[in-house]
Amino acid sequence: MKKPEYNKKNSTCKSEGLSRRDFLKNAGLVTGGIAVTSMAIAAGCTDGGKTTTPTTTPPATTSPTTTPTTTAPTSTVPTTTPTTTPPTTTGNGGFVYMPPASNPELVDVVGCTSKVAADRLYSEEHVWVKLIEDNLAVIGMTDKMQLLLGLVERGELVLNPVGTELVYDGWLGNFEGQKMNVDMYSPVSGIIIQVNDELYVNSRVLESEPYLRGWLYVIELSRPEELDNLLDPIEYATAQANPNA
Amino acid sequence: MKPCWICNLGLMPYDQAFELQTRLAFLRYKKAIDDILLLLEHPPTVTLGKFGKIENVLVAEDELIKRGISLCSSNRGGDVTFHCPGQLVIYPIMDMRSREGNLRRFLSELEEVVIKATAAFGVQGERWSEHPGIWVEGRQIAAIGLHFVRGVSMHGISLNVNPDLEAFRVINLCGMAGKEATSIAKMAKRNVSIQQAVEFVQASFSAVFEVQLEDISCQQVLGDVFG
Repeated sequence: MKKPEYNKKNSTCKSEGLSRRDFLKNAGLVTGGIAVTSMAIAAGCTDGGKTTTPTTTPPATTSPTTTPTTTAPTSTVPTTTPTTTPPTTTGNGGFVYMPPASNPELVDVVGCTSKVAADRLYSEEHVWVKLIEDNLAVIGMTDKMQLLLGLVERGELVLNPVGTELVYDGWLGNFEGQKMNVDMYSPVSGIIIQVNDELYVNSRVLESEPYLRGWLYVIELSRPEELDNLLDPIEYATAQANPNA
Repeated sequence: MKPCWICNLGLMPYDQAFELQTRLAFLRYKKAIDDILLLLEHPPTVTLGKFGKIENVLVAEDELIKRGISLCSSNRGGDVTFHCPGQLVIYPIMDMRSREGNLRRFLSELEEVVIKATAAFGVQGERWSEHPGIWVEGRQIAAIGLHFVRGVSMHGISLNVNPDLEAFRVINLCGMAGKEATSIAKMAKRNVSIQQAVEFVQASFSAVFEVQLEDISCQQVLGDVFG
């Protein structure tokens, strides 16, 4: 769709005569009300400006043998401040994920200023996924995401508890900084079987080691084929280098 | 300079403005529209941020209703905020994916817009590092709260131009007891209209964000977005 020409001599621009197509570049989206509503729900919002405010209670303790629920994720508000009752770490019969000690190889794409690990997949929403067993994956936020957030240590991370069923493109978690918050979206569907406890007491690892100790969840994938939707490291790095593409 | 639409919505209920922002943010995420700046006023409304504490609302809900004040939840950052006529609300729906810097810088730039605009009236606004927003002699003149959805900003900053400052006493400003609100009109000791403030906000927004503002009518935005 053709955009209106600016009046170069005058900072104001003529609004008269603009067609609807001049404002909306893709007319099809005008009728996308259902998609819009879905996004709003995914963002934790409901219609009319009423939002789902996360509770202020920490995640419920879930025993390793608890059957994962199939209900919608429960909003919980663990904070980066150490708590006296740490949230549950694992719901998988004793499986405990330990991140590697050494940094992965990074890809090198001209124009990409954030670090992109070569050994995993990425969503456009700056979440990485690394397969560790057949149907088990670790996910976390990328270096680009932590750069966008800035001052991670002054924020508050809101994560789902163990047992939560994540839905593809659904709510993954939230980062609340001073006067601003950012929603994160899940790149895969599955059940959370482990949450990274360390983030509650040392959120700086999100900044310093986003691909190692800064992981968020271990997920038992329910639809592994969704991995095909994700970007490979070169694609993700290229997208960072060309954000207007 | 990048293009940025600007739409003056006039007086609009909080819920309706929230719905509009949500839809515009989705369209911006899909790159179906350019960045857009919404300028408006809300009827008397108390909003609670995502982690807002109801105890910072100092009046019972039925009393709020008696006074004609709505109470709304919001997904923005921050605690509690009061909106009313005479306060210019500035909501930039902007794509962060193609901008330099982080989200903190965006917040700071939005504060800068207000500092420049109030300076045009001879009012020296200041930042308070622990409590984002703009302050004048210890009183809050602008409250800020942002939300980012898929790399697009929502909500923004509310600048007190000439509101009834007594009405703000229904809340602890930004969750802080004892803090008072002020306005451009009060600090400049003269009448200042919303339209006058709009002109300076537009100019400072364009300068700070380096965008070319293009007017678009309220009717066109609402017609396109809501059909």
